[in-house]
Amino acid sequence: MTGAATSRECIIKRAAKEFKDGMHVNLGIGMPLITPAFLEPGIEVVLQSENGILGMGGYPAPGEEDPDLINPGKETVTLANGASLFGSHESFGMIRAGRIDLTMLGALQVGMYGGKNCEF
Amino acid sequence: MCGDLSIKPEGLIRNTGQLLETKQISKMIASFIGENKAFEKMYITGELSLELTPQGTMAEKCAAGAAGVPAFYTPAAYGTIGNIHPFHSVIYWLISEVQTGELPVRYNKDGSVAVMSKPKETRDFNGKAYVMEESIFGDYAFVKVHKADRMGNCQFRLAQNNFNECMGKNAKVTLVEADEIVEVGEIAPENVHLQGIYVTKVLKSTEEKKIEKLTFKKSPEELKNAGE
Repeated sequence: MTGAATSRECIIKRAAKEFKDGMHVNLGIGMPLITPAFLEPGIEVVLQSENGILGMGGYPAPGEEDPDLINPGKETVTLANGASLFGSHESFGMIRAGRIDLTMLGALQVGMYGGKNCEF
Repeated sequence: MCGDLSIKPEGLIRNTGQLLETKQISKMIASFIGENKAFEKMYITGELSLELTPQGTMAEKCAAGAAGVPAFYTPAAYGTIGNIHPFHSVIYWLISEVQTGELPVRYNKDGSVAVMSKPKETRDFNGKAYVMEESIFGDYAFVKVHKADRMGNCQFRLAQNNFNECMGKNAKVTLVEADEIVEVGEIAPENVHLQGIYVTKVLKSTEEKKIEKLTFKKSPEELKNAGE
């Protein structure tokens, strides 16, 4: 494995340790979206997608994709069992009211005291 | 107002991107502009104004306006020191500058600032600081739904809602594009997501839905190595 792949794996696995069982989590574009694949055994979380999904599932298998089911990065996704759907005002309302336990953001550079630069 | 200014042919809001190309947009209130080079150029050269607004604040401006509420307080964007970060030809601001009024709304052709954003009022509630945001009162809303009946009652499918409900309820004139137009009574009353009282006209979609970023599941190994 190359150095970059090892660092990525390290970051993803370390980030995945932040999940606690039962959390509601919002994941940003990039490595955060990969962390659910590395959840520790026995940990279940509910993924919130700010465009209006609680219980976002993984990416679909070919043939399962639906143009009306996407994440904020405009990628096709699926729904987990027990999912619910709503509008953006509702979605940001629950974020603003503190209902989401954890958010992970993708970043290009992070300052040692937490400042960050983001780029696409 | 627009959630995303995609200009790609399969972009979900490609018509907004087209209005941009024909220079029919004078001011944009948006939360994300990063993927549109044409927009970025027009902003830097002073051809249009930009009010960068956090996405939740945008949604609340529409929802509050829809409910007849002229302004509200939100913790979002309450001030830390931010910075302007030019990178290649894309400009990205940390949201914090929204409160202190340090974001250029419009540039002159020579690159000097024509209009600066206004600093926002703040107030404390229960020991926490909030920014006052004024609601939007739109003239026109163009929204997309799954089913609409002839009274204008609409239903969304899957994740179709996003901004459609709050924008559809907000504007004086709401034009709805529906996958299907159905008879009155076909949508159960408790399943109406956008009530007919908010809707002016309903049209049936004529084009097939497109997917901007078709993404399929990968194995954990593939995921770890992605992006190299």
